[in-house]
Amino acid sequence: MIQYVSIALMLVGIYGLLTQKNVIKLIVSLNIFEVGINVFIISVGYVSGGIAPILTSQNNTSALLYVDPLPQALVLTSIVIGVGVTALALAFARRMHKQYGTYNLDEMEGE
Amino acid sequence: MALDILKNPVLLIAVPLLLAFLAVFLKKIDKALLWIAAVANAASAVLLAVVYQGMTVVELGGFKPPFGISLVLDEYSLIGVVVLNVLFALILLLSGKLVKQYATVLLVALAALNGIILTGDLFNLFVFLEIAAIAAYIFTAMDKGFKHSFNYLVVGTLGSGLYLFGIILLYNIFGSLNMFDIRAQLQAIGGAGAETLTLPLVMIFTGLSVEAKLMPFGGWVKGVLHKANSLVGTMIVSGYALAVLLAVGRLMDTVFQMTDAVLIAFTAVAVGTLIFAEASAFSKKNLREILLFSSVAQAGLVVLLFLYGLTVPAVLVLVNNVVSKFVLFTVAGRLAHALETDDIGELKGVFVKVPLVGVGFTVAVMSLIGLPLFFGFVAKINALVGLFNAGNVWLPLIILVMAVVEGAYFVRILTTLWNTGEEGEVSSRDNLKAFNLDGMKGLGVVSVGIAIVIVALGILPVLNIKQFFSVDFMTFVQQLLGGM
Amino acid sequence: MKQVVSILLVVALGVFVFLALYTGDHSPLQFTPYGEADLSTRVSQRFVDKTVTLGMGEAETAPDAQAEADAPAFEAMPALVVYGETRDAETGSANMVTSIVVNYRSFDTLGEVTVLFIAAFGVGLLLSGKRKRQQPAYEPSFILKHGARIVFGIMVVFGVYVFIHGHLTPGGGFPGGSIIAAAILLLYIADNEFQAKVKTFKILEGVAGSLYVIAGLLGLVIGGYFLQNFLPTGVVGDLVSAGVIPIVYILIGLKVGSELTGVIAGFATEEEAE
Repeated sequence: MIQYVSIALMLVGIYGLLTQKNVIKLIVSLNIFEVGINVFIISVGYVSGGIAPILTSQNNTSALLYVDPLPQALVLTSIVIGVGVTALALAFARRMHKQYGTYNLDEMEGE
Repeated sequence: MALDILKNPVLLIAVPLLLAFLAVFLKKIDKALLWIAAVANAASAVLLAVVYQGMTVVELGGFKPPFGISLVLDEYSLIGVVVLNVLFALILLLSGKLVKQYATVLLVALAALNGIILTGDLFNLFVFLEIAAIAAYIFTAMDKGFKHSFNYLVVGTLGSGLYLFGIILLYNIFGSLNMFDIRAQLQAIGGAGAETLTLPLVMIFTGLSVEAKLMPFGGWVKGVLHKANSLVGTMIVSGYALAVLLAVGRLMDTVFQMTDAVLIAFTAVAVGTLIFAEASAFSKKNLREILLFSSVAQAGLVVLLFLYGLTVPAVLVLVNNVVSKFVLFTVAGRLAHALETDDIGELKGVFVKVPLVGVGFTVAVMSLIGLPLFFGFVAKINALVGLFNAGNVWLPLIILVMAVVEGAYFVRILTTLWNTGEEGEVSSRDNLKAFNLDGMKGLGVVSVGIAIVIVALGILPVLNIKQFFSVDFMTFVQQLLGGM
Repeated sequence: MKQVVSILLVVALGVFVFLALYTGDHSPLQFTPYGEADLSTRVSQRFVDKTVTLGMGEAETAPDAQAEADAPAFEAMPALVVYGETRDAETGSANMVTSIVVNYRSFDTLGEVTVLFIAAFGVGLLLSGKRKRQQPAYEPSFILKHGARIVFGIMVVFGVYVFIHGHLTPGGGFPGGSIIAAAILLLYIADNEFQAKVKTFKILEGVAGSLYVIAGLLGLVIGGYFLQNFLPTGVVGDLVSAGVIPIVYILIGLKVGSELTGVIAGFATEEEAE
């Protein structure tokens, strides 16, 4: 179920990237796409009945059934990369607004 | 013991990264740090080539692959690393004045490009691709081209996301993220199972083709490069093209197990890129636009060769293209900067004023087209012969036709730029009169130096036919004539 | 027109993805369905059991009688990792995701830190110049102005707690650093004239990043591998355990906090009117 939702989110994000002309909306579509991918990655690691992969005083041995920790580590990296790209994109948007006076890609003339 | 540490390929990545972190708060010496890193990397790469004894796998953190990340230094990545680092040092030498505040960005880009070539882990490749891409988004905006860099950012991030989706599917199937481990698992089942891999491979190919400049995803190239200065332009068409296409080749060699339908689809994309880009280059009048479309076409050709398993010819064509484009784009960028135009008609006869540069440019062009006696000829012959041996007739035909088209527009450029026309035409351009020749001397010397290397590499094989050709040339000619 | 084409394209892509993932039986390679992941077929099993380096090495050396006698018998089951008892385990971290992020795949984390670094640097390049605060359309209310001072301290302490305990609880350097940056954002919101000292944060960022790479190089010099964990790993579950992992996470937390603060400072200000 969650995999269907994540793939749907990715498709919504791609649709947004194909059709939107407003720079801010493009950045939002990019974020929706990234959320879809990140949720999909986590869902690949799910084990039914598994518990969170941390040793605590209750779950104290490594023989219990844990969910896959590797996709979680990958998602950590992917989220941070998404944040970096979003910050850079917003800085671009701000400079473009200063240069062209608009947030709409179609209205920005010049080369 | 100290020499052992110096021979570790990790330093090619770690040293520029460390200097980048230092450069951000030691702002006064950031350009010096950039120079130190470039020279150190170039020297280190050459050292690695000299002491190379066989494939080295560097385990990071001490954990064996596939459990840890590994860097792989074999002949394939060694060539890439040497060419990349030497070219980067040369780019800096010729365009160093344009760096301004972007020294940190270039340091990070250098580290990331080395990482792309060396890594043996799929997710690590994703991370390094993102680092290099973000550095590219930043330095392509150098001359206030924000709209084009933003477009590049959006398309590039979409591509990376699709690539990530693809490798997660591979992890789902194989349980590992290491390229060589997946190859071993594929070999263990003997080449079956290609249908399941269709979706991940399509995603990976689409994602990488954005950065590799294949059409239709490479639409960002025109916007970003048509007004690029010599630093930005050469970084993208030489450094980035080399690293990304070598990564594509590595993936195709290890992970790609294609069904016939998938192979045909990918071939169509590569051939389509080749034809579309050469046609576009033919119709353009601006030097930089022609060069960028030529780069796109070469990318399509290299991917085509990788698809059919012709790794050696592909690397030869790639290195030839990258070195030639370095010379061509530096010259184009510098001319455009000095004369404020890169329309060929307005650049008429400029090489007569700067003959050294003109000679270097001409040699690079001839190598790119693939004329005999130049390195490009060796590369192209290997490619065509390899494709013939694979039983394919249409592809070499298309490549030859496209080579003719390429030859046509490049010869047009050369005749215009060397043409003096009537005396009045040349001297009436006030800019040409006030043309500053001093800045071009260094460029001239380096271009001629590279030209000599290109010619040497082109002549040597003729002297040693059997050793350098993948097929004995004489037998091939006999087969061809006999078969008709 | 363009919207219709886009919708068709997206739907076609969706259909392609669904068909490839959830239908058909293409042996011998299969997509593992949702929830049925079997860790023993994946690399993660060795990450959970902390047995990655166990069983390494016998394949390399030529077997001879002396080596056979000395080498650990690899039929023996690797010992279970028990919270509060296992001493000197591999990585030594109770949080398995942390052990992957900062130890097994530490190179990826170095790359991730670089991504954030270069993105923040790019933002700084693009939005630079003499700065004054952009004036929003509202004045901060009384509660915001005075409550922020109280909450700020709590947030910073919480952020520091999160990244120091990265090897024991969920979280680590990245969320911890973000919490600290959010605390500074709160100060920006609560006071229209507040400006953080960007220069100090840049120095902190550069120093923290360099120390991470230097820690990796130390691993290379001491242990022979870049980014090797060269400190003793103590007892699983203690605060002082897991070797170099808490140190790296502290560095990452400080770095991420400084970088995000720099980004916030860039967006909250605008160029001074000439």
